[in-house]
Amino acid sequence: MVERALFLSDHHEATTTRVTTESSLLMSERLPAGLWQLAGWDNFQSAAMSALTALGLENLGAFGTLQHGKEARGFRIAPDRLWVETVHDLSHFFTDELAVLDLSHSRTIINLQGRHARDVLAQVAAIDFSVTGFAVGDFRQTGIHGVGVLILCCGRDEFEIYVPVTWARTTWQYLATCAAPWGVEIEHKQEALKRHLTSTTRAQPPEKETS
Amino acid sequence: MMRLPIGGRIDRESPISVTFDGRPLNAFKGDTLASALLASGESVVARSFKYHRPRGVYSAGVEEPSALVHVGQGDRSEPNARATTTEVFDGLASNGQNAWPNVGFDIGAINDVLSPVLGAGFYYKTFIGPMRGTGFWMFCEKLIRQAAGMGRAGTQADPDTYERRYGFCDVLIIGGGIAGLSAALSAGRAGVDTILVDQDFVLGGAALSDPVDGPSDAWLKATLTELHTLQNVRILTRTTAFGAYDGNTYGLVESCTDHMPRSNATLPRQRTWIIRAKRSILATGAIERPLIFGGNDRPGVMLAHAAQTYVNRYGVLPGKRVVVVTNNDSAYEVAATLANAGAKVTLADLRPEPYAETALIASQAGVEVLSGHGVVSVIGRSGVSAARIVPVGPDGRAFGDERRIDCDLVAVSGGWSPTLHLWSHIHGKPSYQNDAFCFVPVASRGERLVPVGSAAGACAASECIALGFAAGHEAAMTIDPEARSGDAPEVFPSGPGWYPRMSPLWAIFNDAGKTVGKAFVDIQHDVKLTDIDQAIDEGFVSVEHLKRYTTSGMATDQGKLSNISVLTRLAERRGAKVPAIGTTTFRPPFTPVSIGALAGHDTGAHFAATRRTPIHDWHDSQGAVMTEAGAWMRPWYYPHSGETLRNAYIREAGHVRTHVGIVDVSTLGKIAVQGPDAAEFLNRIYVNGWKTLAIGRLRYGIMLREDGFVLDDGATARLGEHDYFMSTTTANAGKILSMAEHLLQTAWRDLRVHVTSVTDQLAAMAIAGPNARALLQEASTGADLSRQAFPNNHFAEAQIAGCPVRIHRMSYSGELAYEVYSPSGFATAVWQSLLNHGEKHGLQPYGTEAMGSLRIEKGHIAGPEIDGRTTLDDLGMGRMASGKKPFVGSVLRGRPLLRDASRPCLVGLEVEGEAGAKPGSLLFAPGKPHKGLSEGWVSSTTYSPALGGYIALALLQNGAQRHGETVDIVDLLANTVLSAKVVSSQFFDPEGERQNG
Repeated sequence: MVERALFLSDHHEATTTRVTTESSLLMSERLPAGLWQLAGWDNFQSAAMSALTALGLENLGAFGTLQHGKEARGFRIAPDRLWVETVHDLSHFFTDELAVLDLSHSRTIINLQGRHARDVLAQVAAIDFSVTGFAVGDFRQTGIHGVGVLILCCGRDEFEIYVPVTWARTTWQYLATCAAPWGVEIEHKQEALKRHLTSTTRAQPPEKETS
Repeated sequence: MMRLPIGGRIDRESPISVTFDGRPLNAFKGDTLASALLASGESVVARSFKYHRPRGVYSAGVEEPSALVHVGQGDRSEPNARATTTEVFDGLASNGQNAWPNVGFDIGAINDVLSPVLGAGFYYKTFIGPMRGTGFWMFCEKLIRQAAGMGRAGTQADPDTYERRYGFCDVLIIGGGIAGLSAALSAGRAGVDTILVDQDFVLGGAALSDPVDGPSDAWLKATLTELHTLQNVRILTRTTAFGAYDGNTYGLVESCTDHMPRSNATLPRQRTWIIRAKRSILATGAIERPLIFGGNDRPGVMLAHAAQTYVNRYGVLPGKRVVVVTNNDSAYEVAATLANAGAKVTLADLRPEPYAETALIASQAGVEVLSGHGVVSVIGRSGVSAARIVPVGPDGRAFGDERRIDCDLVAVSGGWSPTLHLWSHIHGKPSYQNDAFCFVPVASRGERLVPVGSAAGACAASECIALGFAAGHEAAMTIDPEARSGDAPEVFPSGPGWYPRMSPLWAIFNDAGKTVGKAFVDIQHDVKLTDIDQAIDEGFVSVEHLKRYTTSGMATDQGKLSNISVLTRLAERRGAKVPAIGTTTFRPPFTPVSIGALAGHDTGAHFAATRRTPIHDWHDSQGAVMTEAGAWMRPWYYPHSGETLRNAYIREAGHVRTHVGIVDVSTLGKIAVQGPDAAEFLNRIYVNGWKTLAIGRLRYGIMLREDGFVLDDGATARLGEHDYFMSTTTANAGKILSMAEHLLQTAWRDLRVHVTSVTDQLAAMAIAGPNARALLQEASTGADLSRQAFPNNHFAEAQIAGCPVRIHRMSYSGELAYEVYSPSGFATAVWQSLLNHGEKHGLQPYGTEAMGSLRIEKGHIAGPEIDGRTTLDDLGMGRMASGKKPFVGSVLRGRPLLRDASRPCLVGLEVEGEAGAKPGSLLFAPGKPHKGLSEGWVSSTTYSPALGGYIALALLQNGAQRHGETVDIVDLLANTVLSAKVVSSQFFDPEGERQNG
């Protein structure tokens, strides 16, 4: 199979002002390892339990707080919906009680880091990006320039922005414009992937739990 | 007017180069343009809006009605800048506006001579009505707009950048005077997240108008020193809160580089803040009101406290011989300040007897006090040369002998109005305080916005400090009940306040009860007291009507000075109290905000977000001409060298009919419909039935709106037992998803269904043409695509270039056609693989124009036909609607009007001649006049490569029965008439042999 295409890789340099200082923002793109939506109804928790257990997630998690599993990250995006970022194929968990949807290609992830990352984001989304208002491990669903995104705080000065791929370039350019006064450095594809891979432990796919 | 040798808060070590109309000004760092103009003896700095009367500096703040100037040059220029709030910087160039040749001598001043006929309502009465229609008025309006108005906006592109920023805090304090600083101190000490904003470039508010090194300075120094040590207090100067909104949200604009010689590349010119605060404190102070008398707009007439500000803050003496006229105590301190600065001062107090405290202030400063006197008019044109002082009775009328006092400055004080605009944005109408003759905010416990200090009607500094400090602490307590703020700062003595010993007199009349000469109520909009009286006489007795008829309270100052005077006059004339009259509604913005600041980054390429398909870069690299389709960028056509749009789309569409073509249809809406009740959901949302659709099949469906009109169409595939894939039109993708989600969360909560957009997950490409099957059979693996195994309305999972794809057999072009759905990340690889395999089959890409041409040839409906006015029957699809089940729109589609057999319905038109019809053209029967209601309209039009002529789709009355007739196609815009034959809408392959082949 061919390699999945990055949506921004060819356009990073053309869209930003490359001013490298201590204040510079570092922007890069990475593709989600795999993104799945689990959706249920009244008995969502129990319906999803086998999938959650297989992924090492204790439960559906709390809205706005990232949940870490063994090889998965859980985002409770709605009372009846959970996003799971994982390398594993979850399609076999689809049942009468649990709808499973592969969204792996629907989002790309813009990584923004630097001491002014919060200042940049405070220009683009109407949510509180202060250290106390948006702590490490928190995520928010909001809009950037009218584009629905999910923003995860993964470090004191580092954020991942899950962007619909068809809006990715316009969002990247908008962020780069807002970050330009501080200067923007672009982390190239290989470097970004390398950094992510070294920080992600990959393991064997979980087996579907059978009763 | 002169710069005092000492004093003021300006930096006399930092002279600054500033010009007005090319003349250098005496300016120092810390000056405003107004103080520099006054220091330089510039008395006439503007011309008035309507009568072009000479105007000078009237105030020292945002309420300025007169001194509006043009600042900057070239692409960095701004009209209507208030000189009173414009901070000077080295190189600032300013100019007068609304005058020719200049503000010193203005031809437009002829309007002042004509003023007797230019009263309230003049334009309405004179130019609307005498001629039939609006043409005469429109002609006159252009001339009027040229003669009247203020500054002119530049036409060059703005080179500056602007920024929007969202902020959050526990306590927002608006206003950096002593009340606001006290509030910030207590909230800051309590440890809550606090933001303090002030429109000025220095904190201190009205205290900055007190003498340098006086008691207030010591207080300011101590308070600011402590505030700067509090890490939880953010201070934003040069930041104006212009609007208050629901949810305790505030709009602010911060001036970042307006005070700098040139724009700093790393800073925006202005930054708009949208701040959400848990609690907020309004400490915006109060605005002094004018008095109404003849010539009260002349250069040399100024608000009293402004005169004090120019002396104490800027070291400028605005007049050497001064008459102060007042109806309250606050002006006594002003008179003393001016006298102490070297002016000869006479104070005319409208009240019959002076009070001991204030009389002492005057006598100690050597100010002559004339009790029971007022200024009935001033003498002078481009400046004041004398004031006519008269004894004034309790009704404001003169009696006794007039006394003329030579002077060059008349300082007026008609009381004060709390600056409650932001409070009013949220809470509406304020209440009237009878002893202060002003509106004040209505105190209400538990409100998140608390007014304090002068904004709440307080006068004394001690009261402002106490109220501010208490409010800050109370706000902090709502955040942290354990919060402690310590003791309030020491207070300092302040001058007398404007009430309770205030006189209600607001205008001075002659003994006949008339104003002498022109007495302005709204100085900025040239509204005289006689205009108000005339409007009332004509029946405009509602304050809202009066405002609009006279334009009082409009323009950049929004009636900050005129409001109370107008209301008081209206109340007097109606024999009512002011509270019964009410007040006009304050709305954002408090002061003008530049469009750039509101737009922020959303300009140019970022005016709106742009959506690109996963294959966008390929189209770009191949030289496709792109077109906007909503937010999407789509390939319109792929021109060969020098090829026009017409030639290109005809070539592309023709090629599809003879070979095979590929088009990017990733923009189609794609929705996953999942859950055990998915089939029932589809049954309810589509007009046709879905419960029998087998896995592996797909079906075309149509949706209606609740009112029975057609909403959208598309195909839905059944992927699994409870798993469906719905496609919608590009235009309606968002609308359909929203409607589905809305129904599932409200009316259809009984259904266990989830809908999720997968438009971004999957790219889509349509392959059409007689060679389509052969191409796909060669390019793909894993699926039997033979005619027998893969008939129409089926789909199959397969691989192309090793990537998983789903192939739908579905045609909108009338050709043998397929849609290939690919995960977005593989889309370009799949597309390229198809092109590689398609080379020997003659595969060529085609754009949206050719796609439209093909679907018109087939008679397939699209957006122009589904325009919200057409029904299923209109489109010839009534038989699709199931009679066995209800669906959205099933009831209201049965309305008699929608069942009328004579409604326009879908037909085809074969257009005669060598020119096509324009969409939107009207249809008339031949020989009928091309007027009034037409018999239909053209919806879509194209040149048909298959038929070799121009064709169109149209909606025509009784269309189904008129095949073979001829109609006129009338384009009233282009003034053209074409003739066309009415035919079936299915021009191409009506039997469907090709698409089913």
